[in-house]
Amino acid sequence: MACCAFALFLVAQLLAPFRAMAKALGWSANWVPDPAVEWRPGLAMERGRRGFSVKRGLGAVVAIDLLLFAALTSSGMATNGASDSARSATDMLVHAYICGSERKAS
Amino acid sequence: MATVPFGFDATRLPSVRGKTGPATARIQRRTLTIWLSLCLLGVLPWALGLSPALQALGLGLWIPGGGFFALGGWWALLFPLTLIVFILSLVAWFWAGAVIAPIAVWLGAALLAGALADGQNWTGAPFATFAAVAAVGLFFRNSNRKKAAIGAAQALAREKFLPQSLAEVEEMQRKAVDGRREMSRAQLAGLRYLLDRTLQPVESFDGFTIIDQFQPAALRYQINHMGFAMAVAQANYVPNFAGYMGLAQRNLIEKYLQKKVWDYWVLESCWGHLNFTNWDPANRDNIMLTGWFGAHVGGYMLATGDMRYLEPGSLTFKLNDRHQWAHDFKTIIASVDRNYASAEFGIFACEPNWIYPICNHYGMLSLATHDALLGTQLVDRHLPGWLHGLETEFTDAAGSTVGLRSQYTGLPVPFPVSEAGYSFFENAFMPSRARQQWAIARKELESLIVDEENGPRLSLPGEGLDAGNYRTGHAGTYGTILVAAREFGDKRIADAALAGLEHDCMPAVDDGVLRYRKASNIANATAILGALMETGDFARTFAEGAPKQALAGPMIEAMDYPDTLVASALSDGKNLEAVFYPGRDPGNRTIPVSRLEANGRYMLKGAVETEIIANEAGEASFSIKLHDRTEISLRRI
Repeated sequence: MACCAFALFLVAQLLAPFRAMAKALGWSANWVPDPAVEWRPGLAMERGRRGFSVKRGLGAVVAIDLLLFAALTSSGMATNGASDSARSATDMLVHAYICGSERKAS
Repeated sequence: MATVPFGFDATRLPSVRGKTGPATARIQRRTLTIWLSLCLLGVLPWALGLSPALQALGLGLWIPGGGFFALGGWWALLFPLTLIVFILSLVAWFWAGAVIAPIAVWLGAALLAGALADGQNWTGAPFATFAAVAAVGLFFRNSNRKKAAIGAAQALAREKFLPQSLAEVEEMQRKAVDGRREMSRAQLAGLRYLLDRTLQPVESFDGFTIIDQFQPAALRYQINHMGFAMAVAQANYVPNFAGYMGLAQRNLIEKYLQKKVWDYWVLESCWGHLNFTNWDPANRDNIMLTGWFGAHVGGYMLATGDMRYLEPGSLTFKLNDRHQWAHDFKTIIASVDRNYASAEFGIFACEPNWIYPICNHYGMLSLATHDALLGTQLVDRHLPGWLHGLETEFTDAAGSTVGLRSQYTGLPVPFPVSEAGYSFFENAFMPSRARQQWAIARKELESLIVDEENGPRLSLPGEGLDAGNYRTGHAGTYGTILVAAREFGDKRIADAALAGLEHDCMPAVDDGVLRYRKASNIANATAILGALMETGDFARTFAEGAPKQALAGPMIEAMDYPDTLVASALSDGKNLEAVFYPGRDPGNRTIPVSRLEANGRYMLKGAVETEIIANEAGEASFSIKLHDRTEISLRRI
């Protein structure tokens, strides 16, 4: 359990700069106008998808990180001796979500 | 401006360049001692044959993720992954001053390795961990040596061209513009970009980039740079136009006091200073607020003569009903003053731990505005230590300023700010060093200039980065170079930078408003600032302000934006000359004027009336037929 959760946590972090790099290299999106600069008086400012997705993305990453960290810590501490039945519901949920419900964690 | 006599030789780079300064060395020794202690502690479980869990935890103290070697096999793959997470935690530290992030990752990984250790550890683990530590150490040593060698060669080249380049800069500065100045239509179009955003209600942030409030795209920096551009326009073109120009600048200052602009400091105080009770933004560190905002507010007061922000409580940061910090211009500058007085590195931090020399240029600029407004000598008091710190602790082998250093570890971090970026600030408080910075920048920019049919054009390589919205783009760099070139009267490079902006940054004029579409809001503000400037404008605005004589004279109070645009307004203390343009449809306009002599008679040229008489309060108004450029002259009879 701990291994897959931690690995996914690390891999997610590892991939982040590559995603940013792909975007910077123009592989994922063309230039889009900056809504702040496009704004003119009397018009409602378009809320750029990018700005909000960055905010949401950051929030999601932090939330996932916290969840995984919590799962990781609890399962890591419990691995040496605790049985599956002793694991918390959150622990099992995270494991099931990441690794599949039937797989045994290392 | 500094009155301390400096023995600064602009033809030479600091002799201590590339060496580790005493404060940096002390902090680095402390960092090394802490790390060696951790290593020693990590060895003990192996030396004493303690449990596998403690042995894994011990190796984890040597290097982030080192403990996973003890688990053996595929577990070792978690080591490089932990290193990557550790680097990311350093980014979080840098990004938002989250001091606890790298500590949490390092110790968390060690604890995890200890928790996972079960049965026999891999016996080769200490050697593998040692090899990893040695590899990281060697990588940094070789990289630093290479950089030092390249830097030393660059410094020699710089010292060769400096005398000639300096002489050229001095010659260009002598050709400063004098007398009444008038904004062109293009300059007015740029100013309108700022006015559109600043004349909306204070609580509205339409037209501002909103991504995060920690790093360069933060609202506070946009507000400050827009304020700088408006102060330069006010002081140099329209010192006798109060009206909506003054309102727009006060709106910006009021916007800054909105909670969303400055409450990042609550978080940074908690996770950076571990201070959970006092989040006063103008107390410890935070020069990115006190220095920048201080210079902004000081610039406004110098440009307009409006001293309202000296009043106690005029700049109150209100978090909620229970937490608010009453400040004014003097208390904000007092924070800069106090922090400089105890700055171990000569300069002090923005976020907890991170010292940026560029923010300390804003900091010294804020002291210059205070000196100019109140006759203090804060620049004299702090500049020697500031310069000493910059030269001994923040100068690399090439003679360039190290962009960022960790206050807690003494380690430098790459952060791109060029000589051009520092030069125009220094012109307001240390002109000799400013000239040196620009003399270097202009020579090193020369290879990037393409001579075309229409004149020179700066062509920056690669995609660039617009720090104002984290997208690709060169607008911020072109804008900064334009500001610096204009400050030193370097017409060739200013023209080249402007041509670069036009070529690469998608300029558009809609309804008389200019914007660069491939630029963030702050990059637009910087480009507009540059486009407004002439030789010495930055220093003049922030170290002297508008001509005192002008501020004593009649003021135009027009509030009908964008119908009436004011391209020039200057008084000799008694009379007034101004130039107007229609912003929308042409037609008749009424122009209110204040600060006339009570009951005084004035003769008018260029207006509908030929004579007006002021009331008891010294106010009057006149009419103009505004179809195109309209010049008026108001003279006391």
